[in-house]
Parts: sequence; C-alpha cells; structure tokens
Amino acid sequence: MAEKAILYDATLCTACRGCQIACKQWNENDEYIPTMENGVASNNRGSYENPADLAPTTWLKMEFREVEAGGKVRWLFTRRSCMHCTEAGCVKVCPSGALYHDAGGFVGYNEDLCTGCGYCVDACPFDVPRLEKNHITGIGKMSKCTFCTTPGLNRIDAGWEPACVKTCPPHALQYGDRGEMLALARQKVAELKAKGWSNANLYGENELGGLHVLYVLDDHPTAYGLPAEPRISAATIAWQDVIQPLGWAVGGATIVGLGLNWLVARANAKKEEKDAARS
Amino acid sequence: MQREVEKYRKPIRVLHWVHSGAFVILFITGLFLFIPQLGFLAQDGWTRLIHRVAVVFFVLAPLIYLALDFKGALRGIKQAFSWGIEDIGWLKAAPSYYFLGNEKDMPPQGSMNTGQKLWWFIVIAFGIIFVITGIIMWFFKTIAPVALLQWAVFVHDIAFIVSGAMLFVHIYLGVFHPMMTEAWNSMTNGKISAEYAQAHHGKWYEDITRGK
Amino acid sequence: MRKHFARYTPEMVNKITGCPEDAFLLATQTYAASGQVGKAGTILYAMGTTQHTYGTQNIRSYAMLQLLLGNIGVAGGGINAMRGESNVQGSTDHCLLSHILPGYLAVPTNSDATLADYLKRVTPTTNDPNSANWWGNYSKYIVSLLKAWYGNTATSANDFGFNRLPKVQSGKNYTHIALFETMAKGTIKGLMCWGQNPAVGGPNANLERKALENLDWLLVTDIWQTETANFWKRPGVNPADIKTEVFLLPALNSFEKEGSVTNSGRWSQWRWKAADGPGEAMDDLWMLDQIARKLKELYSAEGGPSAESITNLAWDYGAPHPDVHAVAKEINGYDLTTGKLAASFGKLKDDGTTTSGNWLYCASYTEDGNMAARRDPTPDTYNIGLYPNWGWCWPVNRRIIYNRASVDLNGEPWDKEHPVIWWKDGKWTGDVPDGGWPPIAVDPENTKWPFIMKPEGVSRLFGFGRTDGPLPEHYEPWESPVNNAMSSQQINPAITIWRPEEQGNPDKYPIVCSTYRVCEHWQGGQMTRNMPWVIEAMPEPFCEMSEELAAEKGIANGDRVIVESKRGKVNVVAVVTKRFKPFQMNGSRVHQVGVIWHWGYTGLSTGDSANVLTPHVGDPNTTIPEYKAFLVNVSKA
Repeated sequence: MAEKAILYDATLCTACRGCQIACKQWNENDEYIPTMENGVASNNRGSYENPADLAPTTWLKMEFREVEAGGKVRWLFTRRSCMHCTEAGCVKVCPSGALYHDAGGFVGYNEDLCTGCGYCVDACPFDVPRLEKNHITGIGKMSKCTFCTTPGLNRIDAGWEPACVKTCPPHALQYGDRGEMLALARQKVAELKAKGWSNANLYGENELGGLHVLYVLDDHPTAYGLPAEPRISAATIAWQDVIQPLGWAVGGATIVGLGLNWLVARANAKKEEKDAARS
Repeated sequence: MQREVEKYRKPIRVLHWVHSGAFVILFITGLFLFIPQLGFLAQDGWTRLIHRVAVVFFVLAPLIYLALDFKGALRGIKQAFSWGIEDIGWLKAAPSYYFLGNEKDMPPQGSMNTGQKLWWFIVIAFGIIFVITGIIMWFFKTIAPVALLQWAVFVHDIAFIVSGAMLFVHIYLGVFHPMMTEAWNSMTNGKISAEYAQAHHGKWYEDITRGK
Repeated sequence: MRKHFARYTPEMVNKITGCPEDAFLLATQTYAASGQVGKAGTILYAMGTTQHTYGTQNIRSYAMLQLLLGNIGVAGGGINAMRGESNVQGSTDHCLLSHILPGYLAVPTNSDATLADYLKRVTPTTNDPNSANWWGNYSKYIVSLLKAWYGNTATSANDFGFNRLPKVQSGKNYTHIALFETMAKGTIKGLMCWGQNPAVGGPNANLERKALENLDWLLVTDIWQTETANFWKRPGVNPADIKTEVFLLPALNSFEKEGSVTNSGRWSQWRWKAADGPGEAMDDLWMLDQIARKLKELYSAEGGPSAESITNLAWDYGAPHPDVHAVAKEINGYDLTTGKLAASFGKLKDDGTTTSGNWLYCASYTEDGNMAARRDPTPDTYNIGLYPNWGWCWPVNRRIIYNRASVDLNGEPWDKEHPVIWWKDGKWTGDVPDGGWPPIAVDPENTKWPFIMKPEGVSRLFGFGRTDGPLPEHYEPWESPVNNAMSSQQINPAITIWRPEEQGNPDKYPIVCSTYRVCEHWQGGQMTRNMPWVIEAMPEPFCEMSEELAAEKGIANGDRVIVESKRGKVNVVAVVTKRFKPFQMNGSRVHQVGVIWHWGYTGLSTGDSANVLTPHVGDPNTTIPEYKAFLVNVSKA
C-alpha cells in the first residue's frame, strides 16, 4: 500500500464536531464523562469546545480559538488528534512494540501489547497519547487515534476512508495517497495566497519527517495552536538510539567476558588440580 | 575437621536474600520492558504490578535492617566506602587472579575485598538512583514536567544497564567461578572454612583470630 | 418603488443597524454584480429572516432583489430556504399548515357555501391571452382531491363532497400562537401532537406549557419522551393538580420506515427502511390508519356532527399494515376511466373522472413506477447539476421553476455556460420548461409569460395580497431598545398583539436577545439530548455575549447567568466571546446576547429552555413567532 494521509483544510472546517463524534461511534469509545441517572455529567466551561482535552476515549477533538486583529474577529478551528508522524517519538520510545509504523505510514497501535509504561505520553511532541492507568498497580493502557486501523475495526484495510473523513460535511477532511494529498494541499495554499491570505501554509509536509495528517492553514501554525517546529526530545531519541544499543553491548560484553573467564579459570583450576595430584 | 568461621550472620543473610531476590525480580520485570521482543510478557499489567511490589521489598529490607542494627550497617557502609592503597593492589592483581588463578600477587583482603566494596557502592548508589527515578516515574507521572519524566527513564535505564551487568558478575563470582568455591555457603549458612578465609580474606582472618 | 426605497440609504442602514457604510456598500456591490449577464447569485435563508414580526416582508425583499437582478429561474439563482427539518417542504406540500389543503389549495372558509362559491373566491382570472394563469385550473385540482378522498361518494350532484371538508372561519387565525392562546382560554379540549415539542420549541414556553393543562386529553407521538409529553410533571407543578389525560405513543424514526422526503429543491426522494425500531414503536402511517378506521367505525355506529365527513372517506390503504405505496399512488392520482395512474396534472379534470391527492405530485408515481425512488446520477443535458433522473421533483420533474426567465425573448439563455433551458430547432432543450410554449419573440401570439402561477404572468414587485406590504418597510421588532429611525410607526402595524402587558420595557430589559441553534443539537433536543456523544460535545445551554457586556456585568467566561425577559427567566452558562460586539443603533449603544434553545426538562441532558423568554407575537401573515429579536436583561447568577 502506498503511503496515505489525511488532509485537514482549516479554512473549510465548520467545527461541527461530526468527526469527533464519528470517531467515538466507530471506535466504540464512550463519552468520557460518565452518564448519570439525570443526565450526562458534562459541563460547558464557556466555550463551544468540549470535551476539554483528549482522553483515553476521546481520540479526536476540535479546538476553538478566537483571534481579533485589525478590527476583524476570526474563529479558528484546529483538528487535534494523533499526527501520525514519520519520526514518531512514541514509536521510538515504546518498549513493547505496541506502537509501530504500518504500511500506510500511520502510527499503528496494538493495545494488547501495551504495558502501560506511559513513555509515549512523554515522548509525543503534540501531547496526544492518553493513558488510563491505576496509579498503585501501574496497570494501564494507552489510547489514541489509530487512523481507523484498530484491529477488528480496520476501515483502511477494507478500502474505506477513516470515519472522521467520511462524515465531514464540507469535505474539510480528505483522505488518499500522501503524494496526492500534498499536491492538493499545495494547490489550496496557492489559492488562499491568491485570495490575499499571505500567511497561508501547509503544515505537516516535512515536520518530523513528514506527518500523515496534513493541515492547510490560512495563518501561522501557532495561531492554530500547533507547535511551529515540533521535534522529538533528546531523551526520546536516547531510548532507541543510545540505551538499547548500550544495554545490549554492556550486557553482551559482560556475559561473554564472564563466559570467557569461566572457561579460562576452569582450565587453570583443572591444571592446578592435576599438578597438585601429581606432586 | 576444617575449622569454620562465621562470615555472615543471619540478619545479614536475610537482608541479602530479600534484597537481592527483590532486585532479581525487578531486573527480570524491567527486562521485559527493555527487550521489545519480550514486551508481550508484560501486556497484561502483571509485570508492572510485580515490579512495584518487588520495589517495596527492595526498599523496606535495607531500611528495616538499618532500624534494627544501625551500628552494624554503618560499619559495613564505612568499610565499603573506605578506599586505600590496597585497593589499587587488588585492581592490579585482579585480572591474573580471576583468570589464571594467580594468587601470589593478590594482597590480603579485608572482610570485603575491593571488588565487593565496589559492588556495595554500586548497590547503594544505584539503589538510591533507582528509587528516586522510579518514584518520579511512578508517582509524578501527571505532575512532573515531561522532560524530567523522560530523563528519569533514561537515568533509570543507565542504572539498569550498569547494575545489571554487575549483577551478572556478582552472581557469576558467587556461584560459578572455579575459585570462589565457598562463596555460596557463606551467604546460605554463613560459614566458610578457615583455609578459605585465610586465602580470600587474609587480613580479616588475621584480625578475628588475633582477637581470640 | 424607487421613491419608497430612496429612503434606504447606506447612512440609514448604518444608523439603524450599526453596520459600517463601507462594509454595507461592499456587500451590496458584490452581490449586485450577480445581476450581470452570465452571473447569478442565490439567497439561502432560514429562520433569521422569517422569525420576525415582519418576516414575510423580509422574504419579499429577497424576491424583489432577485427579480431586479435577474436571478430567478437561472442556474445558481433563486431564493432557497434552508430547512430545520429534512421534510419541511414535504410537510407544507401535503398541507401541514392551517390555511391550505394539499398542493397549496386554499382551505375552505365558512363563507364558501358551495364548491362554486369556493372556486369563485380562490380562482384567479386574467384578461391577458398571453398569461397562462395556471391557477385557473383550480377546479381540476380541488375536484381531483375530493375524488381521491371521498371516492365514489363524491359526485357532481353533491359538489364532490365539498361540504364535507371542515371549513375555517374566515379571518380567524389558526396558527401556532393563536392555537395556544385558544388553548389557554380553555376552548380546545384535545390535542394531537405528532413529533413536535411545543413545550420547548414554542414561544413563551411557560404560557404554552400552562395552556396544555387545559386540555382534557393530549396525544403525543414521538420517538422519545418529550417535555410536551411530560408537561404535567414539569418542575414546579404538582401532577395531582392537572386533569389532562396524556397518551404517549412510541413512534418509529425516519430510518425505521419507508416513505418519501422532499427537500428545499422540491425533490421528493424515496427512503427505504434501514433498521427495525425498538419495542412497540410504530410508524405514523399505521397510527393514523388505525385512528381513521376507528373513527369511521364509531361515526358509522354512533353518528355525530359532520359524521359524513368521516364515514364517506375512501380509506383503504391495505391491512394489517397500510401500504405507503398505496398512499403515494393516491397522491399521484388516477384516471378513473382507465384505472391507470395519472400521467401528469395536465391530465387532471374537474368532472370527477380523475383523482389526485396532491396535484403538485401528479407524475411522481406513474405507470412507469415510483419516480421518487430513482437513483440515476446521470447529469442533465447542460450539466448544471440538475440530475433529472435522481428522485422526482415537482412540478412534473421541473428542477428550476420559472426557468423561462433564464432565456431572452428568442429563447437563448442569458448564461450560455450554464443554460437551464434552450430553444433549439423549434423545441426546448434542458430542464422541463416552465411551460412548453415557444419563446416570446419566436411566437408572440401563442407564447405565455414566464410567471405562470401569477394571473398576470409576470412577477410582482408590487406585492399585494399579503396582510402587510405591498412594499417591504423597516419596522422595529415588537420589543426594541431604540426608536424606529425609518418612520414614526415603531412596529409592524398589521400584527396581532394578544398580550400587550407582556411587552418588555427597554428601561428594565435593555439588552437585545436572539435565540438560535448549534449544529450539535437539533430543534427541541428530543433526539440529540438523549445521545451521550452529542451531549459531550455540547453539554449545556448557554448565553453568548460580548466581552464588553460581560465586563459591564462582572461576568466571567463560564459563569452561570440569569437571562430574564418580561415573560420569564433562564439560568444558563455565559460564553463570553469576541464574536459579539456592541451595536451603535440610532445613537444608542446596544448590547446583544444569544441563547440557544434546544434544552428542556426531559432527557439525558436537561437545562433551561430559551423559549421561556420569547414573546407570543409573530408575523401578520404566518404568525411565525418573533424568536429572533426581543428584550432581556442579564445578570450573574
């Protein structure tokens, strides 16, 4: 399969939250706030934005930002979910291989293999993975968008677009080969610039080796709450690129060294015995 | 009949086995998280739970010992941390001693030979490092800054690699090395023969027999 | 008209609305450019335009604007209603309004003693031989309708059963507000409430909820328990005090049954059953069929006032479950001489030999099959997006009405890149022409003017026949914080004011309030406030306000606030936003707030209803309530 990507055009998005809810419905994620007898214990905090954050059962949400400049008010909507990075901090850091890159380039996730260590939560430059964990026993599982490749609920293998893309009414979300999505995105950015949006840009082309969720924006990424230059921390890189090799090297060398010592020392001990017996 | 001397009293032996038993469990459960191919063994969460339970024993055992025999513990710690010229002598003689059995260049050792002092140092220092970084990773997951959490993992892992390697050495010397024939006994029933004591911890043997 | 609208200068617009002149001029010039040849502009509107005491005139102004710009009958033109429900068009087509019979035929009044009287009153006439005056065919449609309903018992001897139809009192208002006012007086004994929730969606909610208490019986059919069904146990009342007997029938929703839905484009699209409904829920058709059969039985056995209206109904759609196709076929109509389905309304007659349950839908279900069920995505001849074989459109599958206004006198389209119809080789090509007559210059004798539903054949800039008008004029809403800058007539003089004492004074209620929706919730919230995922996305009703107003009132974003009008008060969350700014209107600084109205006291998510605030006044033609502009005050809770 060729590399795939989702294209999010922030200028077409109406923040209807169809994507947010379609994701929950398809992936069988409950509303994060438990249902009470007299209603859902959820409250409006003074915004259209709800829930407040990603959660183990909220893999995708829309963020609302109001900006005022030059007497004009704009309401910016940002898709917030896993970016499916090529250089994914979470994959680098996952000790059990629960997080991996699949054929389409997405960061796939096998929940069964997750040990609940939470390293991915710390390694993600976008603060996406969410851990549901018992603080005493340490038993837990991580949750995040799987690009609709969750085993048993895999839309991509069935040849379908992700649930969020399918439901988007204004086609702000599109899905296809990453090359196609890039070409489409560049075209959209050019059109925006032609209309006077001089800060229009494509986010995700090269960040972290290339994201598999691309953003067409009419303003700087930071206006949309996206990090301008996302990068993986040195500690994240250290895990796979330093510690792992070091561990194998040191451990291996030690065992080999000890094995060698045993052979040599034993030979000597036998020789000594022989000498002692003879004398 | 060989004369025997008591190398390690019972309280020490208990401490050793509880603490080292806990460490081995910590090491193995930690290994599952370190080797991706073994990760599947950790998937149901028991590994993490066992790791945490073992930590409790790992921390409590020395603390209880400290409480019950503070003086004795202090003595041992002082010994472990006093380094001198003789240690250099051990270091110089160690390779031919341990590989070729060349005993004559090895200076007489005290109760703890240099290698054992080194091991004590590692156990204490890295034990503390393990516990501190482990506490950060366990209790401060949602509070600490991300960078701190990630570096705590890094340091925890370095400690794991170093102490893990040294653990292999310790077990090897205690169980497998052809010359360390009575090391296992010393920690199971606490006794070694006078001959062994003389050969391996000559200085210590002299001190205790002189006292008699 | 020029003289009348000469007073509507950009300065005046700025004075009345606060809209900056340059912004206003930019908007008007941009839109006016759609009047150029080859360009078109469409106006999409919804309740923001209609839910005012001058709502009809607002729409009239769109019509006039589009006519002046030549945007009627062309591709990309028109005035298009965005519906709150998928089948509003279908519901009005099939007369879910109090002033019409199916197909927008006038409802008979008590002054129509005979069919002839009725026809004389309603049938327009013209002396112009070039005016098609299509409503001149009225008699064919009403007779075909009566034949459909009363079958063989409808004959020319008894005016085809005309006098069996219930007749309204001439001049009396039977719309929602008037209905509830009458209910409040205790005149109405029983109410059937089909899939509607007036306890949340009706204006002056407290008044309407209280009015329900006067009913002897209430029937609610819905897919959830609604506030209306539960009015008798709403917060603050003691059920023991309420004598109404309430019946709640569980209904199937649209995906659980078969039928048709008609959209704003007049496309009737057949829908099939996708899933089984829960428990004992049944479809509305079955329920109505049961009720009608039972009524027929009872009236036949026991008699009663106007019994013949019921006993003579030709009511047989199949048993045990009525066949929705039989209903659709009846709506299309039959040629009784052949027994075949009628081919089009052009074939309907007033001599009793044809039937049609709705002349507009004649040709929707023919001998060739159920046209509404077609799903052929083949584009139209000129590829302007008509898809003529997808579903079926009234009338006679004509997708753009008045499309002969899209061509010049020779039948050449004004916009040659997006032609709707085109006269070529002696005939029309493209969409079904709105009247097959030749172009005006091609055959001046036999041609007809394009606006065939008007007796004059041309469109009306001068809009007589409405209660207000004939030219739209600016008035302030019934409750307004400012004087009408346009004239000394403050409000629309033609409206009915049932409760003048309920008008809020700007001194006490200085803030303008509007009610509207969010996309996450739907209407009275019966469905969406029972869906946990949707509730999570939009958990509570709120009041949006400007940062300036919030600062004045000491309200922080997320605080709870009380919004109060002369009718009542609600407690909701404050959403303080940059998107609201104070207005400068006629010299005063005016604040506006908005409250979303989806909530009520029943369901998984409950909250206060915005309609507790709204007034019992509406447009003088339709009485659509003035939900969009009234006065409140706001304070921190």
